[in-house]
Amino acid sequence: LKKIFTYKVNGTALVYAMLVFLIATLVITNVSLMDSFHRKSQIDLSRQHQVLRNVDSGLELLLANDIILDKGWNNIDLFGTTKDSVSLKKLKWGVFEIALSKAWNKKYHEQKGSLIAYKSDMKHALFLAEMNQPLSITGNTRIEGNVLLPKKGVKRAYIEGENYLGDKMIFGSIAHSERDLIMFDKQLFKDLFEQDFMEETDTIIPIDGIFQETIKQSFFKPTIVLESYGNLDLVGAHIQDNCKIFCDQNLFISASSKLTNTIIFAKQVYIEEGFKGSVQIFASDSVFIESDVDLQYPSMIYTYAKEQNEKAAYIELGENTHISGEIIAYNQFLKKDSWPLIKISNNTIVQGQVFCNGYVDLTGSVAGNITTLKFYHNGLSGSYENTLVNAHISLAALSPFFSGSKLIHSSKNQQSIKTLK
Amino acid sequence: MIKKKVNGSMMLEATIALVIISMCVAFSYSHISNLLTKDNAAIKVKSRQAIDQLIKIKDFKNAVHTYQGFIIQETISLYKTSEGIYLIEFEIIDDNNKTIEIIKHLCRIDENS
Repeated sequence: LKKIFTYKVNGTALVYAMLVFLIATLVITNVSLMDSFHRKSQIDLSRQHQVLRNVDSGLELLLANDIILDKGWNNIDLFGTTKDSVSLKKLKWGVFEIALSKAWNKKYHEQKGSLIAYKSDMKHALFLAEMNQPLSITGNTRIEGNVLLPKKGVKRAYIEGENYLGDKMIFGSIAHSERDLIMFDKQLFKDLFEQDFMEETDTIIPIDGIFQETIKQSFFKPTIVLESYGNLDLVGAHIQDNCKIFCDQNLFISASSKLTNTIIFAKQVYIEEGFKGSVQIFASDSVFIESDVDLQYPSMIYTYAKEQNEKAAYIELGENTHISGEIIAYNQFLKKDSWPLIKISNNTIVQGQVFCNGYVDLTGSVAGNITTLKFYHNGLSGSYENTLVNAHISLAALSPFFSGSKLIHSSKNQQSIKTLK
Repeated sequence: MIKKKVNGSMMLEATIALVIISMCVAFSYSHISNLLTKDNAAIKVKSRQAIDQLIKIKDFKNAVHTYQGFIIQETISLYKTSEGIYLIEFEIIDDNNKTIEIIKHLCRIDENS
């Protein structure tokens, strides 16, 4: 043993020893770092996954019919552990509701929103009120689905050199309708037009005459309201999400504008040929939509004549236009000379619901349901009541998953129709 | 350089160095492989993906889903505060019958569906 300790080695051995020590240290440090990084990334992944799941769980909770929330954000511990907290909020967005959910765990935050509509409970393709007048059809008119018609039923008509050539007139069952239009929540419709348009937290931007800017506002931030007293033109304007437009006179929307999820309150709305977007329009007078316009789901057009001396509510859809959503024209004080009118032109398709406590002039197609007091056709040889010329109505052509507002034919079943950010 | 003569003791020193470094590398390898297998990291990742898929399909029921290396036990119960809302618990169990993780999720289930 003494020999070993007194044994003299070369000086280079020290260099070797240090080199070995260095390599061994490097290897061990590397392993330790990998170990801690691995554990940390596992914890982070787990938290991230948990936050994502909790955000979705929060949204599901908001879609439950019986959930009662305070105004503003509500903090909820989902599973009784303190680790699964979410913050939930529900707000009105025109005829729809918006569900907002936020979840967090340490540094991970996630937020998600949903536009909520009501599952449609449409059972009939057509409800034509009992006005002691039959429905007359001619040309290539085709009605598919169960219908509710006046007692005088349906008959063939010969108008402008055209006759109805089909063997069968209604491709579905026929039942008798009543004088009152069914399944329409008048009070809710009235409330929609009389609600407070702005809230205290909204950011108001006064506009004078023309607006050409781009605005995009998250639903997790306060609503932006573009307010105009006088006529307003939207030219090349890009407005997305949490934005409302208020115009007490006439609003013009150019084809170069792009509106997404926008709510519009105006007296009269005019949409230029070629426009594309999704809007909720609340007009106190009328809405004119030119040809080749594409109003994507969910787009809603509502006109409401609420005063006794007001003009009839009027909606006109030009040719080759497509609308997916709801169209309602309603006059509270119905007099013979002030019936509301919805005009749906040739090759125009409405996917959803059409409701009018007046006339519907239909030469286009409705994939869904029409509820009206009377039809109206203004042809070359004159005008005809309760007459359909080359019109198409089909309930089967509408998606069974269609969801609309609570106003007509709605069930209590809430559906998320769009994911919002 | 190749023809240079070295001490015989150097051979011994080099061998000892090699042994020490090899031991370090062997320890590191065993530690990493142990980390990846015993920590169930791969199972956790795979099971979460499987659970996301089950949630996406929305076909909830009391069931056991078998995967390679683990099973997911799915149980449904009514959620405490709301009608029509269900609490779905996914228990991830490995081959040794050990619970790795429990993931909870809330979902509305349409009575008509």
